[in-house]
Amino acid sequence: MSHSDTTDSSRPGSATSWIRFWFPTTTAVPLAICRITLVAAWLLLFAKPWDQLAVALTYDPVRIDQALILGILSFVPVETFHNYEFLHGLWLVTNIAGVLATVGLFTRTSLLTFGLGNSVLIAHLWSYGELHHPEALYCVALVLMGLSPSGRCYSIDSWIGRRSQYPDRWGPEAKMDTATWALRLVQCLLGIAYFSSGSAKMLNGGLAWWNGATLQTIVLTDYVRFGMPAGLWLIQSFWLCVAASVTTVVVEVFFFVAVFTAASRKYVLMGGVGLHMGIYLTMAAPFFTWMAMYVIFIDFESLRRRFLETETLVSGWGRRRVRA
Amino acid sequence: MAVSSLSAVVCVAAYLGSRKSPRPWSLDRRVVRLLVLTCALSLVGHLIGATAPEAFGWYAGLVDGVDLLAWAWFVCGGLAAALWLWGGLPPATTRPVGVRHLLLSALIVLVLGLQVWALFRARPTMWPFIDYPLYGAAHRAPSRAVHYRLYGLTAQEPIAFVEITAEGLGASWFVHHTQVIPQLLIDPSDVLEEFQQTLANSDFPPLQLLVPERTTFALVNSELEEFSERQVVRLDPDLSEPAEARPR
Repeated sequence: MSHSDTTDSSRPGSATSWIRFWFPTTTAVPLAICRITLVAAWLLLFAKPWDQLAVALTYDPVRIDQALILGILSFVPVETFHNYEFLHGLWLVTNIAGVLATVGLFTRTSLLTFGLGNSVLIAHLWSYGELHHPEALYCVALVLMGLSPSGRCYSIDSWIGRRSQYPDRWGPEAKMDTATWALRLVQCLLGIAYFSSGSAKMLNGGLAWWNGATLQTIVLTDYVRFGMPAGLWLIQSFWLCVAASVTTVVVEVFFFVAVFTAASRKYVLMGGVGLHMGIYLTMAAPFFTWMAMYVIFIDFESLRRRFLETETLVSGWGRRRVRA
Repeated sequence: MAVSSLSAVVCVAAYLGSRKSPRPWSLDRRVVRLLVLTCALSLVGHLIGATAPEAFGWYAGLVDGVDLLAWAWFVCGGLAAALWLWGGLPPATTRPVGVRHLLLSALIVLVLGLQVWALFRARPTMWPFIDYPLYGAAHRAPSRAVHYRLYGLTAQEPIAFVEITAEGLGASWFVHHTQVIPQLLIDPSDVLEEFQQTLANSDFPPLQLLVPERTTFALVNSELEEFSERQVVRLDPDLSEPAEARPR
Protein backbone atom coordinates (compact mmCIF):
# COMPACT_ATOMS: atom_id res chain seq x y z
CA MET A 1 0.00 0.00 0.00
CA SER A 2 1.38 3.41 -0.81
CA HIS A 3 1.35 6.34 1.54
CA SER A 4 2.07 10.04 1.18
CA ASP A 5 4.33 11.94 3.55
CA THR A 6 2.04 14.24 5.54
CA THR A 7 -0.04 13.70 8.65
CA ASP A 8 -2.92 15.63 10.23
CA SER A 9 -1.71 17.19 13.51
CA SER A 10 -5.09 18.64 14.64
CA ARG A 11 -6.20 15.36 16.22
CA PRO A 12 -4.96 13.61 19.37
CA GLY A 13 -2.04 11.26 18.76
CA SER A 14 -4.01 8.05 19.28
CA ALA A 15 -6.76 9.12 16.84
CA THR A 16 -4.14 10.12 14.26
CA SER A 17 -2.39 6.79 14.66
CA TRP A 18 -5.72 4.98 14.35
CA ILE A 19 -6.68 6.87 11.18
CA ARG A 20 -3.17 6.53 9.75
CA PHE A 21 -3.21 2.80 10.33
CA TRP A 22 -6.71 1.98 9.07
CA PHE A 23 -7.62 4.80 6.69
CA PRO A 24 -4.59 6.09 4.77
CA THR A 25 -5.34 7.77 1.45
CA THR A 26 -4.25 5.36 -1.25
CA THR A 27 -5.47 3.70 -4.44
CA ALA A 28 -7.70 0.62 -4.59
CA VAL A 29 -5.13 -1.36 -6.61
CA PRO A 30 -4.06 -3.75 -3.78
CA LEU A 31 -7.68 -4.30 -2.79
CA ALA A 32 -8.74 -5.04 -6.38
CA ILE A 33 -5.87 -7.47 -6.98
CA CYS A 34 -6.65 -9.22 -3.69
CA ARG A 35 -10.30 -9.47 -4.75
CA ILE A 36 -9.42 -11.05 -8.09
CA THR A 37 -6.83 -13.41 -6.59
CA LEU A 38 -8.77 -14.57 -3.55
CA VAL A 39 -12.16 -15.01 -5.25
CA ALA A 40 -10.67 -16.81 -8.26
CA ALA A 41 -8.52 -19.01 -6.00
CA TRP A 42 -11.57 -19.95 -3.95
CA LEU A 43 -13.65 -20.78 -7.02
CA LEU A 44 -10.92 -22.79 -8.73
CA LEU A 45 -9.02 -24.37 -5.84
CA PHE A 46 -10.56 -24.08 -2.41
CA ALA A 47 -14.35 -24.28 -2.86
CA LYS A 48 -15.87 -27.40 -1.38
CA PRO A 49 -17.78 -29.49 -3.94
CA TRP A 50 -21.52 -29.70 -3.47
CA ASP A 51 -21.33 -33.42 -2.55
CA GLN A 52 -19.16 -32.57 0.44
CA LEU A 53 -21.47 -29.75 1.59
CA ALA A 54 -24.53 -32.01 1.16
CA VAL A 55 -23.15 -34.50 3.73
CA ALA A 56 -24.49 -32.11 6.42
CA LEU A 57 -28.04 -32.81 5.20
CA THR A 58 -27.73 -36.41 6.45
CA TYR A 59 -27.39 -35.19 10.07
CA ASP A 60 -30.16 -34.38 12.52
CA PRO A 61 -30.71 -30.57 12.53
CA VAL A 62 -31.33 -30.74 16.29
CA ARG A 63 -27.55 -31.03 16.67
CA ILE A 64 -26.83 -27.66 14.98
CA ASP A 65 -24.60 -25.66 17.34
CA GLN A 66 -23.09 -22.82 15.28
CA ALA A 67 -24.42 -19.38 16.31
CA LEU A 68 -24.55 -18.18 12.68
CA ILE A 69 -26.86 -21.02 11.61
CA LEU A 70 -28.95 -20.79 14.78
CA GLY A 71 -29.37 -17.07 14.05
CA ILE A 72 -30.62 -17.86 10.54
CA LEU A 73 -32.95 -20.53 11.92
CA SER A 74 -34.64 -17.92 14.08
CA PHE A 75 -35.88 -16.34 10.82
CA VAL A 76 -36.06 -19.30 8.43
CA PRO A 77 -37.95 -22.48 9.45
CA VAL A 78 -35.61 -25.44 9.92
CA GLU A 79 -37.60 -27.53 7.37
CA THR A 80 -36.90 -24.87 4.75
CA PHE A 81 -33.22 -24.38 5.60
CA HIS A 82 -32.17 -27.99 6.24
CA ASN A 83 -33.34 -28.99 2.81
CA TYR A 84 -31.58 -30.11 -0.38
CA GLU A 85 -33.28 -27.56 -2.68
CA PHE A 86 -32.65 -24.57 -0.39
CA LEU A 87 -28.96 -25.28 0.25
CA HIS A 88 -28.31 -26.28 -3.37
CA GLY A 89 -29.96 -23.04 -4.51
CA LEU A 90 -27.79 -21.09 -2.06
CA TRP A 91 -24.69 -22.88 -3.37
CA LEU A 92 -25.60 -22.01 -6.99
CA VAL A 93 -26.29 -18.33 -6.16
CA THR A 94 -23.01 -18.14 -4.22
CA ASN A 95 -20.99 -19.51 -7.13
CA ILE A 96 -22.64 -17.22 -9.67
CA ALA A 97 -21.89 -14.29 -7.34
CA GLY A 98 -18.28 -15.49 -7.19
CA VAL A 99 -17.92 -15.32 -10.97
CA LEU A 100 -19.43 -11.80 -10.99
CA ALA A 101 -17.11 -10.72 -8.16
CA THR A 102 -14.06 -11.97 -10.07
CA VAL A 103 -14.87 -9.97 -13.19
CA GLY A 104 -16.10 -7.07 -11.06
CA LEU A 105 -19.73 -6.68 -12.05
CA PHE A 106 -21.94 -5.33 -9.24
CA THR A 107 -18.77 -5.99 -7.29
CA ARG A 108 -19.85 -4.98 -3.79
CA THR A 109 -23.13 -6.92 -3.89
CA SER A 110 -21.70 -9.97 -5.63
CA LEU A 111 -18.65 -10.19 -3.33
CA LEU A 112 -20.80 -9.77 -0.21
CA THR A 113 -23.18 -12.47 -1.49
CA PHE A 114 -20.21 -14.72 -2.27
CA GLY A 115 -18.61 -14.23 1.16
CA LEU A 116 -21.82 -14.59 3.15
CA GLY A 117 -23.04 -17.55 1.06
CA ASN A 118 -19.82 -19.46 1.64
CA SER A 119 -19.86 -18.55 5.34
CA VAL A 120 -23.38 -19.97 5.73
CA LEU A 121 -22.66 -23.15 3.73
CA ILE A 122 -19.47 -23.97 5.62
CA ALA A 123 -20.86 -22.94 9.02
CA HIS A 124 -23.71 -25.39 8.33
CA LEU A 125 -21.23 -28.14 7.44
CA TRP A 126 -19.33 -27.57 10.71
CA SER A 127 -22.52 -27.35 12.81
CA TYR A 128 -22.62 -31.02 13.79
CA GLY A 129 -19.53 -31.48 15.96
CA GLU A 130 -16.84 -31.61 13.27
CA LEU A 131 -14.89 -28.40 12.62
CA HIS A 132 -11.85 -27.50 10.54
CA HIS A 133 -9.88 -24.28 10.56
CA PRO A 134 -8.55 -23.40 7.07
CA GLU A 135 -11.63 -21.70 5.59
CA ALA A 136 -12.79 -19.51 8.48
CA LEU A 137 -10.52 -16.49 7.97
CA TYR A 138 -10.85 -16.73 4.21
CA CYS A 139 -14.64 -16.33 4.49
CA VAL A 140 -14.21 -13.33 6.82
CA ALA A 141 -11.77 -11.83 4.29
CA LEU A 142 -14.28 -12.25 1.45
CA VAL A 143 -17.04 -10.54 3.44
CA LEU A 144 -14.76 -7.67 4.50
CA MET A 145 -13.61 -7.10 0.92
CA GLY A 146 -17.27 -7.06 -0.06
CA LEU A 147 -17.73 -4.14 2.34
CA SER A 148 -14.80 -2.25 0.75
CA PRO A 149 -14.47 -0.49 -2.61
CA SER A 150 -12.73 -3.48 -4.20
CA GLY A 151 -14.41 -2.91 -7.56
CA ARG A 152 -13.01 0.61 -8.03
CA CYS A 153 -10.39 -0.68 -10.48
CA TYR A 154 -9.67 -3.74 -12.60
CA SER A 155 -13.40 -4.49 -12.90
CA ILE A 156 -16.31 -4.10 -15.29
CA ASP A 157 -17.81 -1.66 -12.78
CA SER A 158 -14.68 0.47 -13.12
CA TRP A 159 -14.84 0.32 -16.94
CA ILE A 160 -18.45 1.55 -16.78
CA GLY A 161 -17.60 4.08 -14.03
CA ARG A 162 -14.88 5.74 -16.09
CA ARG A 163 -17.50 6.52 -18.71
CA SER A 164 -19.89 7.96 -16.11
CA GLN A 165 -20.36 11.41 -14.57
CA TYR A 166 -17.40 11.00 -12.14
CA PRO A 167 -14.62 9.23 -14.07
CA ASP A 168 -11.94 10.33 -11.57
CA ARG A 169 -13.47 8.11 -8.86
CA TRP A 170 -12.68 4.95 -10.81
CA GLY A 171 -9.55 3.25 -12.07
CA PRO A 172 -6.09 2.54 -10.65
CA GLU A 173 -5.23 6.24 -10.17
CA ALA A 174 -8.32 7.10 -8.08
CA LYS A 175 -7.39 7.72 -4.43
CA MET A 176 -9.58 7.03 -1.41
CA ASP A 177 -9.21 6.44 2.32
CA THR A 178 -11.38 3.33 2.57
CA ALA A 179 -9.28 0.98 0.45
CA THR A 180 -6.95 -0.25 3.20
CA TRP A 181 -8.93 -1.03 6.33
CA ALA A 182 -10.27 -4.38 5.11
CA LEU A 183 -6.82 -5.64 4.14
CA ARG A 184 -5.33 -4.42 7.41
CA LEU A 185 -8.14 -6.09 9.36
CA VAL A 186 -7.52 -9.42 7.63
CA GLN A 187 -3.80 -9.02 8.36
CA CYS A 188 -4.64 -8.46 12.05
CA LEU A 189 -6.97 -11.48 12.10
CA LEU A 190 -4.25 -13.65 10.57
CA GLY A 191 -1.80 -12.36 13.19
CA ILE A 192 -4.28 -13.17 15.98
CA ALA A 193 -4.93 -16.65 14.55
CA TYR A 194 -1.23 -17.49 14.35
CA PHE A 195 -0.62 -16.03 17.79
CA SER A 196 -3.52 -18.06 19.20
CA SER A 197 -2.01 -21.21 17.75
CA GLY A 198 1.53 -20.50 18.95
CA SER A 199 0.56 -19.31 22.41
CA ALA A 200 -1.78 -22.31 22.88
CA LYS A 201 1.20 -24.58 22.36
CA MET A 202 3.21 -22.66 24.94
CA LEU A 203 0.39 -22.23 27.46
CA ASN A 204 -1.01 -25.78 27.18
CA GLY A 205 2.13 -27.76 26.52
CA GLY A 206 4.86 -25.45 27.80
CA LEU A 207 8.45 -26.33 27.04
CA ALA A 208 7.34 -29.95 26.74
CA TRP A 209 5.94 -28.99 23.35
CA TRP A 210 9.53 -28.67 22.18
CA ASN A 211 10.55 -32.12 23.46
CA GLY A 212 10.51 -33.70 19.98
CA ALA A 213 8.16 -36.48 21.09
CA THR A 214 5.20 -34.11 20.76
CA LEU A 215 5.85 -33.40 17.09
CA GLN A 216 6.66 -37.07 16.51
CA THR A 217 3.26 -38.06 17.93
CA ILE A 218 1.39 -35.38 15.96
CA VAL A 219 3.06 -36.32 12.67
CA LEU A 220 2.68 -40.04 13.39
CA THR A 221 -1.07 -39.60 13.97
CA ASP A 222 -1.46 -38.02 10.56
CA TYR A 223 1.00 -40.43 8.93
CA VAL A 224 -1.17 -43.43 9.80
CA ARG A 225 -4.12 -41.68 8.20
CA PHE A 226 -2.59 -40.08 5.11
CA GLY A 227 0.66 -42.02 4.68
CA MET A 228 2.85 -39.05 3.72
CA PRO A 229 6.41 -40.44 3.18
CA ALA A 230 7.99 -37.16 4.39
CA GLY A 231 6.09 -37.62 7.66
CA LEU A 232 7.66 -41.03 8.26
CA TRP A 233 11.09 -39.58 7.45
CA LEU A 234 10.57 -36.68 9.87
CA ILE A 235 9.43 -38.74 12.86
CA GLN A 236 12.51 -40.96 12.56
CA SER A 237 14.77 -37.95 13.10
CA PHE A 238 14.36 -36.78 16.70
CA TRP A 239 16.48 -33.61 16.59
CA LEU A 240 14.83 -32.47 13.38
CA CYS A 241 11.50 -32.73 15.22
CA VAL A 242 12.89 -30.59 18.06
CA ALA A 243 14.12 -27.95 15.56
CA ALA A 244 10.81 -28.01 13.67
CA SER A 245 8.88 -27.57 16.95
CA VAL A 246 10.89 -24.49 17.94
CA THR A 247 10.58 -22.98 14.44
CA THR A 248 6.83 -23.58 14.40
CA VAL A 249 6.23 -21.75 17.68
CA VAL A 250 8.54 -18.83 16.80
CA VAL A 251 6.88 -18.31 13.38
CA GLU A 252 3.38 -18.53 14.84
CA VAL A 253 3.96 -16.31 17.86
CA PHE A 254 5.77 -13.55 15.95
CA PHE A 255 3.75 -13.62 12.72
CA PHE A 256 1.86 -10.50 13.86
CA VAL A 257 5.08 -8.47 13.49
CA ALA A 258 4.42 -8.55 9.71
CA VAL A 259 1.25 -6.49 10.26
CA PHE A 260 3.13 -3.56 11.78
CA THR A 261 6.51 -3.59 10.06
CA ALA A 262 6.43 -3.72 6.28
CA ALA A 263 10.13 -4.52 5.95
CA SER A 264 9.80 -7.69 8.03
CA ARG A 265 7.09 -9.10 5.79
CA LYS A 266 9.21 -11.00 3.34
CA TYR A 267 10.98 -12.87 6.17
CA VAL A 268 7.82 -13.56 8.15
CA LEU A 269 5.85 -14.65 5.08
CA MET A 270 8.68 -16.89 3.90
CA GLY A 271 8.65 -18.44 7.38
CA GLY A 272 4.89 -18.92 7.09
CA VAL A 273 5.12 -20.52 3.64
CA GLY A 274 7.89 -22.83 4.87
CA LEU A 275 5.80 -23.78 7.90
CA HIS A 276 2.67 -24.58 5.88
CA MET A 277 4.54 -26.44 3.15
CA GLY A 278 6.31 -28.49 5.83
CA ILE A 279 2.97 -29.24 7.50
CA TYR A 280 1.45 -30.24 4.16
CA LEU A 281 4.35 -32.49 3.11
CA THR A 282 4.55 -34.29 6.45
CA MET A 283 0.95 -34.22 7.68
CA ALA A 284 -1.16 -33.51 4.57
CA ALA A 285 -2.88 -30.65 6.42
CA PRO A 286 -3.87 -28.25 3.62
CA PHE A 287 -3.53 -24.68 4.88
CA PHE A 288 -3.26 -23.34 1.31
CA THR A 289 -6.07 -20.88 2.06
CA TRP A 290 -3.85 -19.16 4.63
CA MET A 291 -0.92 -19.05 2.22
CA ALA A 292 -3.22 -17.56 -0.45
CA MET A 293 -4.20 -14.87 2.05
CA TYR A 294 -0.57 -13.75 2.25
CA VAL A 295 -1.41 -11.86 -0.95
CA ILE A 296 -2.94 -9.16 1.28
CA PHE A 297 0.55 -8.32 2.59
CA ILE A 298 1.97 -7.55 -0.87
CA ASP A 299 2.33 -3.87 -1.77
CA PHE A 300 0.80 -4.04 -5.25
CA GLU A 301 0.64 -0.24 -5.55
CA SER A 302 4.44 0.05 -5.33
CA LEU A 303 4.85 -2.80 -7.80
CA ARG A 304 2.46 -1.09 -10.22
CA ARG A 305 4.32 2.22 -9.95
CA ARG A 306 7.65 0.48 -10.48
CA PHE A 307 6.21 -1.30 -13.52
CA LEU A 308 4.88 2.01 -14.94
CA GLU A 309 8.25 3.72 -14.39
CA THR A 310 10.08 0.89 -16.14
CA GLU A 311 7.60 1.03 -19.02
CA THR A 312 8.08 4.82 -19.37
CA LEU A 313 11.86 4.44 -19.33
CA VAL A 314 11.80 1.67 -21.92
CA SER A 315 9.44 3.57 -24.25
CA GLY A 316 11.54 6.79 -23.89
CA TRP A 317 14.71 4.86 -24.66
CA GLY A 318 13.02 3.26 -27.73
CA ARG A 319 11.92 6.68 -29.05
CA ARG A 320 15.45 8.08 -28.65
CA ARG A 321 16.90 5.11 -30.57
CA VAL A 322 14.37 5.59 -33.40
CA ARG A 323 15.27 9.32 -33.61
CA ALA A 324 19.00 8.53 -33.64
CA MET B 1 6.96 -21.61 33.57
CA ALA B 2 7.77 -22.01 29.89
CA VAL B 3 6.70 -18.44 29.19
CA SER B 4 8.76 -17.19 32.09
CA SER B 5 11.79 -19.04 30.77
CA LEU B 6 11.27 -17.56 27.32
CA SER B 7 10.84 -14.09 28.80
CA ALA B 8 13.99 -14.61 30.85
CA VAL B 9 16.05 -15.27 27.73
CA VAL B 10 14.65 -12.20 25.95
CA CYS B 11 15.03 -9.98 29.02
CA VAL B 12 18.62 -10.96 29.61
CA ALA B 13 19.46 -10.41 25.93
CA ALA B 14 17.70 -7.03 25.96
CA TYR B 15 19.35 -5.97 29.22
CA LEU B 16 22.83 -6.91 28.02
CA GLY B 17 22.19 -5.14 24.71
CA SER B 18 20.89 -1.93 26.30
CA ARG B 19 23.88 -1.55 28.70
CA LYS B 20 26.27 -0.94 25.84
CA SER B 21 24.09 1.32 23.71
CA PRO B 22 20.69 2.51 25.02
CA ARG B 23 17.88 1.40 22.70
CA PRO B 24 14.11 1.95 22.75
CA TRP B 25 13.27 -1.40 24.32
CA SER B 26 9.95 -1.82 26.02
CA LEU B 27 11.59 -4.41 28.24
CA ASP B 28 13.08 -2.38 31.06
CA ARG B 29 13.42 -2.71 34.83
CA ARG B 30 9.67 -3.06 35.28
CA VAL B 31 9.57 -6.21 33.20
CA VAL B 32 12.68 -7.58 34.88
CA ARG B 33 10.94 -7.15 38.25
CA LEU B 34 7.80 -8.75 36.85
CA LEU B 35 9.87 -11.58 35.47
CA VAL B 36 11.58 -12.23 38.80
CA LEU B 37 8.19 -12.22 40.54
CA THR B 38 6.74 -14.56 37.93
CA CYS B 39 9.62 -17.00 38.13
CA ALA B 40 9.46 -16.99 41.95
CA LEU B 41 5.69 -17.50 41.94
CA SER B 42 5.96 -20.22 39.30
CA LEU B 43 8.61 -22.04 41.31
CA VAL B 44 6.64 -21.82 44.55
CA GLY B 45 3.45 -22.74 42.69
CA HIS B 46 5.04 -25.80 41.15
CA LEU B 47 6.48 -26.92 44.50
CA ILE B 48 3.12 -26.47 46.23
CA GLY B 49 1.32 -28.09 43.30
CA ALA B 50 3.60 -31.11 43.51
CA THR B 51 2.97 -31.59 47.24
CA ALA B 52 -0.71 -30.65 47.56
CA PRO B 53 -2.28 -30.05 44.15
CA GLU B 54 -5.89 -29.61 45.35
CA ALA B 55 -5.35 -27.37 48.37
CA PHE B 56 -3.60 -24.58 46.47
CA GLY B 57 -5.46 -24.56 43.17
CA TRP B 58 -6.16 -20.81 43.42
CA TYR B 59 -2.45 -20.13 43.82
CA ALA B 60 -1.65 -21.92 40.57
CA GLY B 61 -4.30 -19.73 38.89
CA LEU B 62 -2.57 -16.61 40.22
CA VAL B 63 0.76 -17.84 38.89
CA ASP B 64 -0.81 -18.51 35.50
CA GLY B 65 -2.27 -14.98 35.51
CA VAL B 66 1.09 -13.40 36.22
CA ASP B 67 2.68 -15.68 33.63
CA LEU B 68 0.17 -14.41 31.06
CA LEU B 69 1.10 -10.84 31.97
CA ALA B 70 4.77 -11.68 31.41
CA TRP B 71 3.76 -13.24 28.09
CA ALA B 72 2.08 -9.97 27.05
CA TRP B 73 5.26 -8.07 27.92
CA PHE B 74 7.25 -10.60 25.95
CA VAL B 75 5.11 -9.95 22.89
CA CYS B 76 5.48 -6.17 23.32
CA GLY B 77 9.22 -6.75 23.43
CA GLY B 78 9.06 -8.72 20.18
CA LEU B 79 7.15 -5.95 18.48
CA ALA B 80 9.45 -3.26 19.83
CA ALA B 81 12.44 -5.25 18.59
CA ALA B 82 10.90 -5.59 15.13
CA LEU B 83 10.08 -1.86 14.98
CA TRP B 84 13.63 -1.05 16.04
CA LEU B 85 15.11 -3.40 13.44
CA TRP B 86 12.93 -2.56 10.46
CA GLY B 87 11.26 0.74 11.30
CA GLY B 88 7.51 1.23 11.68
CA LEU B 89 4.75 2.17 9.29
CA PRO B 90 5.40 5.05 6.90
CA PRO B 91 3.40 8.24 7.58
CA ALA B 92 0.25 8.66 5.50
CA THR B 93 -2.11 11.39 4.40
CA THR B 94 -5.41 11.33 6.22
CA ARG B 95 -8.63 13.30 5.92
CA PRO B 96 -10.80 14.62 8.79
CA VAL B 97 -12.69 11.99 10.77
CA GLY B 98 -16.15 11.50 9.26
CA VAL B 99 -19.20 9.40 9.98
CA ARG B 100 -17.89 6.78 7.58
CA HIS B 101 -14.65 6.50 9.55
CA LEU B 102 -16.58 6.15 12.79
CA LEU B 103 -18.83 3.44 11.38
CA LEU B 104 -15.91 1.54 9.87
CA SER B 105 -13.97 1.92 13.13
CA ALA B 106 -16.93 0.44 15.00
CA LEU B 107 -16.99 -2.48 12.53
CA ILE B 108 -13.23 -3.02 12.94
CA VAL B 109 -13.54 -3.05 16.73
CA LEU B 110 -16.54 -5.43 16.48
CA VAL B 111 -14.68 -7.90 14.22
CA LEU B 112 -11.51 -7.81 16.34
CA GLY B 113 -13.61 -8.10 19.50
CA LEU B 114 -15.50 -11.12 18.15
CA GLN B 115 -12.24 -12.82 17.15
CA VAL B 116 -10.59 -12.18 20.52
CA TRP B 117 -13.75 -13.25 22.38
CA ALA B 118 -13.83 -16.47 20.33
CA LEU B 119 -10.34 -17.33 21.59
CA PHE B 120 -11.58 -17.54 25.17
CA ARG B 121 -14.76 -19.55 24.57
CA ALA B 122 -14.96 -23.15 25.70
CA ARG B 123 -16.50 -24.38 22.41
CA PRO B 124 -15.95 -22.96 18.90
CA THR B 125 -19.58 -22.20 18.10
CA MET B 126 -19.15 -18.77 16.54
CA TRP B 127 -17.76 -19.86 13.15
CA PRO B 128 -16.09 -18.11 11.29
CA PHE B 129 -14.75 -16.58 14.53
CA ILE B 130 -13.03 -19.53 16.17
CA ASP B 131 -9.96 -20.25 18.26
CA TYR B 132 -6.84 -21.94 16.87
CA PRO B 133 -5.37 -24.18 19.57
CA LEU B 134 -3.93 -26.37 16.82
CA TYR B 135 -2.05 -29.36 18.25
CA GLY B 136 -1.66 -27.51 21.57
CA ALA B 137 -1.21 -30.55 23.82
CA ALA B 138 2.28 -31.86 24.59
CA HIS B 139 3.06 -35.58 24.40
CA ARG B 140 5.74 -37.71 26.01
CA ALA B 141 7.79 -40.50 24.47
CA PRO B 142 7.16 -43.13 23.24
CA SER B 143 5.10 -41.66 20.42
CA ARG B 144 1.89 -43.56 19.71
CA ALA B 145 -0.99 -43.18 17.29
CA VAL B 146 -4.23 -45.12 16.87
CA HIS B 147 -5.99 -45.70 13.58
CA TYR B 148 -9.42 -47.26 13.08
CA ARG B 149 -10.62 -49.22 10.07
CA LEU B 150 -13.80 -51.12 9.30
CA TYR B 151 -14.14 -54.21 7.10
CA GLY B 152 -17.20 -56.19 6.08
CA LEU B 153 -17.59 -59.79 4.85
CA THR B 154 -19.98 -60.04 1.91
CA ALA B 155 -23.08 -62.22 2.35
CA GLN B 156 -23.25 -63.34 -1.28
CA GLU B 157 -20.72 -64.80 -3.74
CA PRO B 158 -17.96 -63.90 -4.20
CA ILE B 159 -17.37 -63.98 -0.43
CA ALA B 160 -14.69 -61.38 0.34
CA PHE B 161 -13.72 -58.70 2.81
CA VAL B 162 -14.38 -55.12 1.68
CA GLU B 163 -13.23 -51.99 3.47
CA ILE B 164 -16.14 -49.79 4.54
CA THR B 165 -14.97 -46.22 4.12
CA ALA B 166 -16.60 -42.92 5.05
CA GLU B 167 -16.66 -41.94 1.35
CA GLY B 168 -18.46 -45.16 0.44
CA LEU B 169 -21.13 -44.44 3.06
CA GLY B 170 -21.40 -40.76 2.09
CA ALA B 171 -20.48 -39.88 5.68
CA SER B 172 -17.92 -37.64 7.33
CA TRP B 173 -14.44 -39.12 7.87
CA PHE B 174 -14.36 -37.54 11.32
CA VAL B 175 -17.64 -39.10 12.48
CA HIS B 176 -16.84 -42.48 10.90
CA HIS B 177 -13.36 -42.82 12.40
CA THR B 178 -13.77 -41.14 15.78
CA GLN B 179 -17.32 -42.13 16.69
CA VAL B 180 -18.80 -44.99 14.65
CA ILE B 181 -15.88 -47.47 14.41
CA PRO B 182 -14.70 -47.02 18.04
CA GLN B 183 -18.30 -47.56 19.17
CA LEU B 184 -18.61 -50.70 17.01
CA LEU B 185 -15.40 -51.97 18.57
CA ILE B 186 -16.30 -51.21 22.19
CA ASP B 187 -20.06 -51.69 22.38
CA PRO B 188 -21.66 -52.47 19.00
CA SER B 189 -25.21 -52.89 20.33
CA ASP B 190 -25.61 -49.11 20.79
CA VAL B 191 -25.03 -48.16 17.16
CA LEU B 192 -25.45 -51.39 15.20
CA GLU B 193 -29.07 -50.96 14.07
CA GLU B 194 -28.54 -47.36 12.92
CA PHE B 195 -25.28 -48.28 11.18
CA GLN B 196 -26.89 -51.24 9.42
CA GLN B 197 -29.56 -48.92 8.04
CA THR B 198 -26.85 -46.55 6.76
CA LEU B 199 -25.10 -49.53 5.20
CA ALA B 200 -28.30 -50.76 3.54
CA ASN B 201 -28.87 -47.33 1.97
CA SER B 202 -25.32 -47.20 0.57
CA ASP B 203 -23.78 -48.90 -2.48
CA PHE B 204 -22.06 -51.62 -0.43
CA PRO B 205 -23.16 -55.23 -1.16
CA PRO B 206 -25.13 -57.08 1.57
CA LEU B 207 -22.79 -58.05 4.41
CA GLN B 208 -22.90 -60.84 6.99
CA LEU B 209 -20.12 -59.66 9.30
CA LEU B 210 -18.47 -56.43 10.34
CA VAL B 211 -14.87 -56.37 11.53
CA PRO B 212 -13.90 -53.09 13.23
CA GLU B 213 -10.12 -52.86 13.66
CA ARG B 214 -7.97 -50.66 15.87
CA THR B 215 -4.27 -50.48 14.98
CA THR B 216 -1.84 -48.89 17.41
CA PHE B 217 1.39 -47.57 15.89
CA ALA B 218 4.36 -46.91 18.20
CA LEU B 219 7.72 -45.35 17.42
CA VAL B 220 10.36 -47.48 19.16
CA ASN B 221 14.05 -46.62 18.56
CA SER B 222 13.11 -44.69 15.39
CA GLU B 223 11.32 -47.78 14.03
CA LEU B 224 7.56 -47.95 13.54
CA GLU B 225 5.89 -50.91 15.25
CA GLU B 226 2.19 -51.76 15.04
CA PHE B 227 -0.31 -54.14 16.58
CA SER B 228 -3.99 -54.59 15.76
CA GLU B 229 -7.11 -55.49 17.73
CA ARG B 230 -10.27 -56.71 15.98
CA GLN B 231 -13.85 -57.47 16.90
CA VAL B 232 -16.32 -59.56 14.90
CA VAL B 233 -19.87 -58.20 14.79
CA ARG B 234 -22.67 -60.29 13.26
CA LEU B 235 -25.28 -58.40 11.26
CA ASP B 236 -29.03 -58.92 11.30
CA PRO B 237 -29.92 -60.25 7.80
CA ASP B 238 -33.38 -58.58 7.98
CA LEU B 239 -31.80 -55.14 8.17
CA SER B 240 -29.40 -55.71 5.27
CA GLU B 241 -31.87 -54.49 2.64
CA PRO B 242 -32.76 -50.86 1.96
CA ALA B 243 -35.65 -49.56 4.10
CA GLU B 244 -38.04 -49.22 1.12
CA ALA B 245 -37.38 -52.86 -0.01
CA ARG B 246 -38.10 -54.35 3.43
CA PRO B 247 -41.52 -56.08 4.01
CA ARG B 248 -43.70 -54.02 6.35
